[in-house]
Amino acid sequence: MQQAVLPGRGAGAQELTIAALGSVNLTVPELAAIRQQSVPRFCERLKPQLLKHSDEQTLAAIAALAQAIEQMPPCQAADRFANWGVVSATRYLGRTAFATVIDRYKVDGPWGVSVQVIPHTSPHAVASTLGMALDSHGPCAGAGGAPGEETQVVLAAASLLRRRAVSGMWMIFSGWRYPAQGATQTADAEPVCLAAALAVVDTSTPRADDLGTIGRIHIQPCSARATTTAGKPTHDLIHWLTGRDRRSPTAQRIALGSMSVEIELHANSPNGNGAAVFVPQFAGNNPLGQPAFAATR
Amino acid sequence: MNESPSIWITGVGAVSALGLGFDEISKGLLAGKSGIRPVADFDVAQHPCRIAGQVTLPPAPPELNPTAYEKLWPLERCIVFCCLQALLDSGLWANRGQLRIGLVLGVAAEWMSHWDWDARHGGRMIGGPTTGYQPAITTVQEMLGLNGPAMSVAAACASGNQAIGLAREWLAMDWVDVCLAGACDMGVTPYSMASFGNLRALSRRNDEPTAAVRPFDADRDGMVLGEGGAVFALERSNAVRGDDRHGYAEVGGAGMTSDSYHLVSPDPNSTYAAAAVRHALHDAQVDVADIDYINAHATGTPVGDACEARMLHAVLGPHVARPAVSSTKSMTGHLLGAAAAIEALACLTAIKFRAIPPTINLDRPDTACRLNHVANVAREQAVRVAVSNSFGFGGHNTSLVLKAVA
Repeated sequence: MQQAVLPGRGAGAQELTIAALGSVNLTVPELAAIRQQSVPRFCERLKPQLLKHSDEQTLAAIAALAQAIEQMPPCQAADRFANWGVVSATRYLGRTAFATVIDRYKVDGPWGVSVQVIPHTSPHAVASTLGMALDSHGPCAGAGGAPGEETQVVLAAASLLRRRAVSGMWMIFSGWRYPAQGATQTADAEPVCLAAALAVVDTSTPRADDLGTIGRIHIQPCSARATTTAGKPTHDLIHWLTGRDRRSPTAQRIALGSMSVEIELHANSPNGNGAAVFVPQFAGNNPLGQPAFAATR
Repeated sequence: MNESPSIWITGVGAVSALGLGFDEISKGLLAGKSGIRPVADFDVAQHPCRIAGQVTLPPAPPELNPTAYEKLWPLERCIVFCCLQALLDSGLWANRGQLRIGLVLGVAAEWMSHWDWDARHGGRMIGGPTTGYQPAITTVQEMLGLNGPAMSVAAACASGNQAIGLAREWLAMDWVDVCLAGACDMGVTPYSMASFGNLRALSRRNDEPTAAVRPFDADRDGMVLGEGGAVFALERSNAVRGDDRHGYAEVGGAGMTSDSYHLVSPDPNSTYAAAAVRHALHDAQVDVADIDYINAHATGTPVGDACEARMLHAVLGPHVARPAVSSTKSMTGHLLGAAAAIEALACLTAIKFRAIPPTINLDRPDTACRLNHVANVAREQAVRVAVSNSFGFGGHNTSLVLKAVA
């Protein structure tokens, strides 16, 4: 593996430890099963009556979260995640539900609009629902909301961990992968909901050692005039984390703004087929508004 | 000992039903003016609530390409206008290319807002490919030429306080030289009015719009939606001192917690809402006895206002009668995702003009909400420390402490 080249660590640099990563790729029938039965770990706090109104990305995120917790050292404390927060990056959350709202409004007028749409499909809904699952009382929020905005979750989590008002943060990523045009009766012909859940703590805290390490996140501000070489987009963060796109290259760069973020998963990480580094490189104005990747080997 | 520089607000850009910009909105707030009127731009005949605090978005400012500006979605236009005004007000516009200017924007439902507008104008964006659309923060970066990191944050009606709290951290960590932070929302739409109306959260006092929002009043019957937002330019104090620019206030502290209780209803015990206020005070190194003014979240719903009043009693204890309390939603309406931002502006108003905006329509204070209310008329009083509370669906609790700067 070739290490990504980052500027020297300096003022504002921050390192987070990734303690767990859970990821899922779920088909529509699998999502329906979660909606009907919840998941064993959270069935007391997230009952089907609640999940009935949840967006599919919320359901996938719940499954990814449960998987991630399985990887963490067992702990009997009931308030294990009480002082954690949750930040989620979704992709067009609530699109299906809102399309239904628009159609029903045309037919039934205002009385046809469900009261559940706003609380369950606004961009904060995934984080709020997972916060309820965990009985977490740290801050919960959505960040971004469209493809290419996922790295905002990293910045949010790092910011919230800085003052140590929270013990740890859950970073959640979710979205859909749709079949390619012309796909036939293969596994890739069905839409799949992707979700990844990462538990992160500030590396400098003692707690980081207790939880174990499967990877690191490095954050580094750059000068205003920093530049990077942008190339053709080939990978994105959620596909990478959910293992759908963990092929080569082993290091990548994205242009976004005057920040540099590197996400590194160790070779023994549960989803990894080898060590890999994801480097969203913020530098300069990005006219596309989408991450631009430059792969290196 | 090396102390970190404090974080100051040096510029404000704002749009609300009370007008445009800090001075005009402050004037309306201090005059006790209501921005609530009958909804004019779509048919509300079948809606349970037919009034709102709508805004008239301004034309293209001379600094921007008018063609590009006129093509923006309403929410984007509001955001771009507020960000530009904040930079102009701070005196940083001309030097923006030399600075790492970050952007943390509270947007409670960005894509829903676009889908909504598009559908109302005959489009079917929601069912089509999403290529060609970009996030609002990218639009701001492009149009204003900003080159720092940018983020949109969604925490329902608490989004603005979360954005300001995060921006403060970005500056403290030296990630940026300047950070624009705040929130905008254009939530007065048929679908949101229908959803909140069906939830019975909206006032039905349609025949007297200016008297409809009655936080803490015994006759309150719900909130009224508003539109607009506010964006602030935040800087480290050591970058401001020594030149001829001024600070509106210091962002002294921020508290953020979650109820983990229900996706709509607040925890009736307000345990974590109280924790958010305590965290903010602790963060700002402010004692409860030093608070001069609290801009309450109080939306005018029967349950929520009483819940917040109980929480304030728990936090303030024997000092509960000291700080003046008002809810400026009585004038602006509830700006949803942008509520915290416009209410931070109300705190700056109190600090700058040494006068506290009132809660209008507070004719018969609810005995369940006994506080030191500023009822109906602004109160002249110096404000050194102001606290702004904002809570939201999903159990989001936030509190912001703003301090006067010398």
